[in-house]
Amino acid sequence: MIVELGHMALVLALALALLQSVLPFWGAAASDDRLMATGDVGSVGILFFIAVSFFCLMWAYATSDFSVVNVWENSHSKMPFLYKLTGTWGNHEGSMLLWVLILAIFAAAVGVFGGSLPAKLRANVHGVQGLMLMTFLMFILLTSNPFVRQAAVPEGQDLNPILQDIGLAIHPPMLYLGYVGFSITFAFAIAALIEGRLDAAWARWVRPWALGAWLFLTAGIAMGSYWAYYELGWGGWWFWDPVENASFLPWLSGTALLHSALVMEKRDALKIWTVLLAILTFSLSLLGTFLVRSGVLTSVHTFASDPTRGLFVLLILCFFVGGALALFIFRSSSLQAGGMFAPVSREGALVLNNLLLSTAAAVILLGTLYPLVYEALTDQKLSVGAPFFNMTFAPLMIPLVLALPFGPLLAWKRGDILAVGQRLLFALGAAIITTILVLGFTAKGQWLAPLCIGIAVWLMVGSFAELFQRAGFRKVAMPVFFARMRGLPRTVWSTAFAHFGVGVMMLGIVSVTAYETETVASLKPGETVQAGGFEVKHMGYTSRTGPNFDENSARLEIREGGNLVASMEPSKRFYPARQMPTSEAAIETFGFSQLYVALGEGTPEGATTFRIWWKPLVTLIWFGPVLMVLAGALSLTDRRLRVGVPKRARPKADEKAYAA
Amino acid sequence: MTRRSTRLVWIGVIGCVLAAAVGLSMFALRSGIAYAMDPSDLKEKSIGPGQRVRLVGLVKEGTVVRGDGLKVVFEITDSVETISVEFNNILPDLFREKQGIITEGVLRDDGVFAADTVLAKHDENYMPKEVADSLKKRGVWQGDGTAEQ
Amino acid sequence: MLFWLITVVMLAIAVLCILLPLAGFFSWKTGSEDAEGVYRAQLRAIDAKLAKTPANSLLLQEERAEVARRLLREVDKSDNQPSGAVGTTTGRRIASIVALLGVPLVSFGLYGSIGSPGVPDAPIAARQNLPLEQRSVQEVVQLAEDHLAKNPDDPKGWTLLAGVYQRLNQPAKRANALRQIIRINGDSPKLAIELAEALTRADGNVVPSRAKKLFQAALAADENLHKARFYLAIALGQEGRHAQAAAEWQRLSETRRDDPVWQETIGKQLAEAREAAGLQPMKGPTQADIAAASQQSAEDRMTMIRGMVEGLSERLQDEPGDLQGWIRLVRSYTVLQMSEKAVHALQTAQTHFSGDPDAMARLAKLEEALDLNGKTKQ
Repeated sequence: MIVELGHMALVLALALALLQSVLPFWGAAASDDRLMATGDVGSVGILFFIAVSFFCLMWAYATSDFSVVNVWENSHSKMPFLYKLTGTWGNHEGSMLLWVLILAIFAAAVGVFGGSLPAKLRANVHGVQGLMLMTFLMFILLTSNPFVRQAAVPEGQDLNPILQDIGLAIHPPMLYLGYVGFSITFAFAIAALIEGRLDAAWARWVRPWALGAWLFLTAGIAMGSYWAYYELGWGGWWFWDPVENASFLPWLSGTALLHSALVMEKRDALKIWTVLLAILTFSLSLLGTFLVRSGVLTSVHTFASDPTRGLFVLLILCFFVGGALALFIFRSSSLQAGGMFAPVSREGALVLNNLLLSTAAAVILLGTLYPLVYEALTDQKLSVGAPFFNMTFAPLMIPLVLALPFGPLLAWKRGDILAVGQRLLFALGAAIITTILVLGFTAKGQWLAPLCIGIAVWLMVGSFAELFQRAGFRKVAMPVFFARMRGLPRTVWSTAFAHFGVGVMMLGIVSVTAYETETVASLKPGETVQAGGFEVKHMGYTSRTGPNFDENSARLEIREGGNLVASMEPSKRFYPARQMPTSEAAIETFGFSQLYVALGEGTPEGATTFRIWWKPLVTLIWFGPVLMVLAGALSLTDRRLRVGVPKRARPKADEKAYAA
Repeated sequence: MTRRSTRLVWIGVIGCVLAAAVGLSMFALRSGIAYAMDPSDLKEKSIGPGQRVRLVGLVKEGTVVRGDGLKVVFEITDSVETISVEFNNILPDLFREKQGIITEGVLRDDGVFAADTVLAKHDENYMPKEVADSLKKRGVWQGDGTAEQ
Repeated sequence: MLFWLITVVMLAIAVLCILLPLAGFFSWKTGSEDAEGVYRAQLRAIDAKLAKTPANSLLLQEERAEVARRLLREVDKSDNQPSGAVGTTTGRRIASIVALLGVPLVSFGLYGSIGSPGVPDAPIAARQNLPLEQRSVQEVVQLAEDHLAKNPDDPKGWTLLAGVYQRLNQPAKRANALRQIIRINGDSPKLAIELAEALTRADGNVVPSRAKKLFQAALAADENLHKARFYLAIALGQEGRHAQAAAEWQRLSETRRDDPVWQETIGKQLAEAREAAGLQPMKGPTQADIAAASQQSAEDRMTMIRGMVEGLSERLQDEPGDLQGWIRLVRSYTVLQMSEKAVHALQTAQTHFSGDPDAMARLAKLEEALDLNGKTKQ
């Protein structure tokens, strides 16, 4: 009965979404406050029903109810309980249900927390969200229904072993929160275009939503990268795979959106571009969903694909993207364009940021879709590999990183680049010293990697220049300086830390790419190999039986200079229900660096091949994004960004800090 | 700065970035791509030396031979032509005989395909799209409705 | 009953979500923050800065003027707009009616067509408490499998399962069970032959090399195990060594002389093998005598086989998803020398399994093995 109630709740959500996609628009057009109010209540109602439906499906997973086809296909009664729960979204149908659940959460958030937004804007946002909910609910109910029943069978077919991991518990929900979060900025853009009013205030309202979505997307991508790193056993952390690109594209344009909205809020300029970015960011999210769900591109990440579903998502994509762009073109001529800015100014720097980020996004989009277009035109298949993306993306990012520390230091309208340059001299010094040191220590004739490390240090140090400047470093006494530092607005802190995070990530990427070592060795028990400055000794095999798999592992002792520093157990698992083997790499962290051991084939003589990587500073690749996320969260807590608060009297602490 | 010169600066900057992006993409598209081929294509078409190719097909039964260390030699077939592939790394977990796989690498002068990447799907029920299309093309797999009469 | 009760409650909630705000229950003062508020806040921030930084004042003054202009524009705009929203009762009434009728109609209509009301939940815990008689064969087998997964050294259990698998036509699983028995009870030629036979059947009735080895070993241990010789002869035929196969069939035909079915089968195989090997058909009296002696029963047998094959064909019409069944059907037709029907069955199977590369590969292999290759493409 619970399963059927979940099904019924999903149908009721669709019925409400149908009304939601009409009544608020109507209310806004007729200036009827009661009709507009249905949007607020309706959005909460839709969330309620989708949540009921989602938890009913989760219940079916938790109790291993194999009369539900979806549960039977993706679960096993002996799986650990956590994976039974996360299995709810470890498949196409369930993940789409999670997708709409998150869409509904954001829509309801506008209804509940957006109470201070202008009524018409809010109603139109609800209308757009209602349209999206309606189409995706129809997609689920008509093509990917997770509540289809069958006669009960004794055992399920198990969840894909690759997905039986804690990473799956967190990664997709995070990623979806990001993807879907940008639906709000999209809805704001459409609402603004419908109303025909687009001004600095609009940017002010959109910014917290964009920032929230960006946070989750950043966290989701970083999580996914780490998950692929330890679960796939190839030691890679980014493959420029179509599915990864699909999540990276909205990240790039979303980052551009965050920065251009800043210009729009402060200068009432760059308006058309900002709206276009808001539309494009969510369009790229939808494109990502389409690419993942349709299987038109071969990827190592997709777990289910079906052409008819792909067609449906393609139609949804065309409807929203085409509709939004048509509305944009129709309306943009009537929107007032902003003025021209001086190239050397805060807004000039932000425009440069936007230019580079969106160009990078365009290049990656080209690389991702090129095989599709090429095949359609010539019937010849090809694949665009990592070299393409590395060759195009990196050169575009280097100028961005070089220019980044200048941005926050430049004044609005007219900046003084020489004065800013003087303030960044210490960052330049730190970068040069680092480069020389790295050159001296590695001395392999490599110059590019030390230079890139220098650039990363330039960014890391330079990120804090604004903090130092605004707190009056070396102009005031130390206690005053620290007091001022504490008093600075949180947004200044968050800008510094987010940019610092970019530098940290770059440092990790460069050092792993340039200095990682890989050792492949075939070892019998008792044998030793030198790898990455460690002695790795094979201590023998262990086998054990897990709840739904059998595991064979090799025990390794890691010694450094004769001292035991770690013991590791890379293993291979076999999941009988799917007749599927998996590798579980063993990872040992030393500071920010990691030793990574993957197990290869065994030989008849009792030896096993090991693939051992030493990955210097690899964890920085994920610590960087973690810093960015924390910085973004800090900025969200700044009361000036929160919706509806600026009317209140501003506390004094912030204002004191404005001296500079 | 006058309005006019400001405009010129912006046009210059945007032009430079776009030109750089287009140039880089053109250059990278020449060297960063690999054509997907099956063994028949690879034998028919002349490939420049060092041109990267994505070779797709089924692992032929009984051809997987393990050499010293990690070296593995196996044959990839589209049921018409067969090509010997050499790989010097740990194979993916789902690598099996009769399984559709994707390899990437370069065709050597001695006719052996030196692969540096071997991909097998996560899901064992899934046939990579390239492999399926190749088999269809070779008439082995009549996936589209009725058999050819 | 409870289900419908809860459904009606949910439906009521859904309808109220629209009706209540329309009735004015949620008409909180909307839009407390407008553009004016945003600009005033910006102005205050700039003023605060101005008060503290006389050095930078020119830029800030300009910024302040800009924001002030925006604020003025906004105030103008809102002065010209009619303040306070006024709705028409007709619009609200229409919306209420649509909500009241539409929500139940859409939800019950859609759920009625795609839902399965009345199908109870079947959590695994509840199923485990059912008595054994009420469960399906698969479930009992599952129970036995679970038991053996925990106690893998129980030979009785494995023997039982091996028998069940035989009946359920799951040769691969049967092979595994037999292996377990051999592991526990030790090897015997008879068990080895059973295992090899299961392996052969699991491979679509083509004798794989490991099964061949098992047959040979068993035969080496005991000359009189005709079953092993039988399969070895088949293997020789499948390898294309027809002359050797014929010799083996010849040897087999000299055993079990009083078993007409055996003699008939062997005689037929022998004739086929000789023909394939290009030898003259046998004219010896033995063959003819045997044929005559077993004429009646052989005919009966052929009728029976045809009947079975027809039965299989009919079953596959209803259950086209049984790949093993299709393979068996195609083979049977080939053996009965009804190649047209074999080709047709193969094509039907290929059409059905076109989406399943694994199955297609097996069918392609079968096609090649039976030399139907040319015939499907004509």
